[in-house]
Amino acid sequence: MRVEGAQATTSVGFGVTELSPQTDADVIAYRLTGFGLVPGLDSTTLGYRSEEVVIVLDQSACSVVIFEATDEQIELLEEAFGESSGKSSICYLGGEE
Amino acid sequence: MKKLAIVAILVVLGGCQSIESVPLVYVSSNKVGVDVSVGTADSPGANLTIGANTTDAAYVPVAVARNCNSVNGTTNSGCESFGSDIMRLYGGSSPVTRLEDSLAQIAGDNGQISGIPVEKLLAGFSDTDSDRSDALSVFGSFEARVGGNAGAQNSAGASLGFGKLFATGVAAQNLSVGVDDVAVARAGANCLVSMNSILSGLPEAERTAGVVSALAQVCGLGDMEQTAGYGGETPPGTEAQPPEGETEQQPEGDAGEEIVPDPEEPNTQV
Repeated sequence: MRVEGAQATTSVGFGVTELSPQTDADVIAYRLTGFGLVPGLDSTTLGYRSEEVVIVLDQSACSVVIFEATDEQIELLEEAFGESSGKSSICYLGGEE
Repeated sequence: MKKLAIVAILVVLGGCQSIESVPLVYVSSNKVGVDVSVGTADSPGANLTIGANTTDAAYVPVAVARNCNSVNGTTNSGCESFGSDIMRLYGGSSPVTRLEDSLAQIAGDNGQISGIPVEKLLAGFSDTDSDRSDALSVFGSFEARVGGNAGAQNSAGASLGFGKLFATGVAAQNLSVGVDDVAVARAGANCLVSMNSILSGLPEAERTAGVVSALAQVCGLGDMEQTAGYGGETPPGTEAQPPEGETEQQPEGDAGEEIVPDPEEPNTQV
């Protein structure tokens, strides 16, 4: 399990993992991949599950959320926003900007 | 068994608790196997999925249930009977809308301030793009390609791939308009490249003004014979006659000199 943020940490172990997010955060984002009994946002899966979730508590923090995009697609997106690109807060889930 | 039932009841009751701050949630998930989920407001009951399930969704709150007395300690009428106060989310109103509301309150029933109608006072104000407000619009792209067309009869097309993304509110509006503009611009550019390629492949003798004009019209550039001064074929009886006492001036510029129409060569329709 790897936690990104101000203090990025990585932990490896067996059993049930629990992650308590910062309660006053504006945005909580996570990506999980698992085999076996995998709990997710709204359900539990027995098998394979990959999930990417962004929870925006302050809507001005992320008006645009990008899950997957190549450099070309990001360039295209900025072109599509045009003059308004500076006014929109864009969040990249991949951690690359 | 009794303990399990109590836990299940607590979980169900927990789902009914009002939450004052409802988040905006974006989800992209792939599940293979057996998936079990509890019901939601739109699909109550438990769900059991066997096989594969892919979900790309944005959950946008349209209303927030606030606890009574949560705003300045005041209670709205009827709040106590429901147990919570329902507040709809619209997004902030624009400055012009707020000004309109303020003037309307000052004016009262007659709709005038110092004898001047409110409409007249507001005539010089208008909403601009920066004034737009929106809390509910969503723009989603799921590995799709967004297409646009340019040119006569939308003959030239281009498609754009944005990957997987979500946008909400005013950003969704800006993006939807921007996608259209970019697609059309790129389609036009592609058309001009194709036009250049076609002209390059033609023998010089066949690069007539008629051919150029036809290709330009396909790309939506209008009639270049008229706009650029090409002397292409003109229907009989429609020639422009110079006024009496004036001599006809030949069009100037390199473009009119390089491409000379061949009167014996019929225009090629593309």
